[in-house]
Amino acid sequence: MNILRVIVIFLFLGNCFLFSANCFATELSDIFSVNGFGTIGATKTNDQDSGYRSNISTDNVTYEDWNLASRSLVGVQANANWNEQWGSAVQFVQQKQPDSTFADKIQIASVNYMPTPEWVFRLGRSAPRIFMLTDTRNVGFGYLWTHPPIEFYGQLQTTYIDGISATYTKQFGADFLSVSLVGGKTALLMSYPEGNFTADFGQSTGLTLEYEHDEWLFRGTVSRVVNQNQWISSVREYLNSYSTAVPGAGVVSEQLNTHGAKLWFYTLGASYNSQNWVIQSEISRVTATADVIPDTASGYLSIGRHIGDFTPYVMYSHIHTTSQNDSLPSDVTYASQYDSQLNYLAQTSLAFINSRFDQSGVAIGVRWDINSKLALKTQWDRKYINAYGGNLEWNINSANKVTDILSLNLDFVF
Amino acid sequence: MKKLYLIIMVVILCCVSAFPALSAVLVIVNKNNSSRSMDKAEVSALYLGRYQAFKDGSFALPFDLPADGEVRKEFYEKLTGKSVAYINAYWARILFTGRATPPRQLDSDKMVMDVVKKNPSAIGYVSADIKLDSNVKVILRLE
Repeated sequence: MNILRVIVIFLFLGNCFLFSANCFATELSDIFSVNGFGTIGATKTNDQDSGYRSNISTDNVTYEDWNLASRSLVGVQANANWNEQWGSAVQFVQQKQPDSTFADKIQIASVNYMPTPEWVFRLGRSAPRIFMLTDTRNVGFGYLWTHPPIEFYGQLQTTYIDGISATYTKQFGADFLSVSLVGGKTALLMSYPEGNFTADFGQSTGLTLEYEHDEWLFRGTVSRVVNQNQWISSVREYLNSYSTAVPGAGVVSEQLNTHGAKLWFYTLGASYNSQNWVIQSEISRVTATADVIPDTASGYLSIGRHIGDFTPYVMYSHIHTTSQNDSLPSDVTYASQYDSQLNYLAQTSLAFINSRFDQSGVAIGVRWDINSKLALKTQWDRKYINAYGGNLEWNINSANKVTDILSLNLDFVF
Repeated sequence: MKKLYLIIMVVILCCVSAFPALSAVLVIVNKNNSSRSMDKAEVSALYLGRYQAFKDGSFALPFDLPADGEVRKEFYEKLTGKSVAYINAYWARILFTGRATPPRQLDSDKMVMDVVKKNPSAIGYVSADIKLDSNVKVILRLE
């Protein structure tokens, strides 16, 4: 257990103790509050083969039958405002996730310090701000759709960062400019039928610039992570054992090397929220120095119209891999004809190296705000997935395909 | 079936609706607060958690009215130009990032006025229909 994880659990338990102790204090509600959020969701598709999922970190897969666990979750958050300058928060989220430990379910365990109204410092575990909804994607009540567009939010995404952040906000009349810098470490689970891989993003830094003018919000983020482990170590070891006889096997092994790989996330986002319209769009570029991690470009545009308590909306989203497919070295191809194990290793490696995200989606849906704490949503998605480009799905198809997804969510806060 | 669903959604999306405005809302602070007036942007910043201080740099403590109340709906629509549903969703997003907590909700205009008259850091809003206490002052009128 690393030191940051110990600090996060310490902050979580420490906050719980302080919250409990203050239950006996007078003016309790001035200091302490407990809130929560949740989603009761149901999803089905018309596809019995590929399996829809909301992101690559989950094995909670939906086929033709209604899946009640696909989006369902519950979260509880305790907040304390000790005084004007110090505050703390802990958040625990329960949902169906593979290989999740107690520490993984803690999404926030932080202490906030505000020395002046312009500056906020946070220490501990908090949500990263890579994309506009990265820090709140579990809170269905907080966004318009039944689920964030998977072409944008389904790819490499971390849900927390253990470290420190500093935010400076300046008001210019009716406008606000804020700059945030965050540093720390995080991890990402990738789940596939062949097994789970955990990325150890040991060095993560991010810079976010946000500008708000009336109904408009603009945000730009640059994030950089350095991966510090091998995702596919066993395949690499077998390949290396061939490298003396078949030098190309060593080349392929190096293409699978993820240790020290640097990933850059560039994101631009804008949203417009008025009494009548809610429009949001983001574009993103992800690049990586490792061959096995695909470079991607993605984006989405959502347009909704407030009509009383109802907000119907339409959305388009897209992701594609920008890096070119690689082929095997000629000596590996040749030797594979006579060695079935090498052939298996070579084909498995090629599948990893050429893994692609190539799909588009259109969606139409409606959100009904039943009251200030409850919203009912329904959404129909159609996904256009190119051959071998369905890495967001559970099983990858070798031909172009079209999939329909129907979702129904009841989102609530308390 | 999907075509019908699509048509219904597009028709709803294209519909236009209008809602009548109700009475004015008064934004109040303690009479000892150094602020003489505030504009919409400044009050909006406090109520949306973007900025936490008055003009003089002292920390501000905003108070809210019940979530489903008509005065709150009027206040946010007149102040921000955004629907109350958007405000609720906005605060759900901000609160659950752990970055800020929403203004504390009190049960009535009278409770808001009681808190504001006792606390120089407090800011609240009430319906223009109620009689104001002499220990509070109006810094913004939202029509």
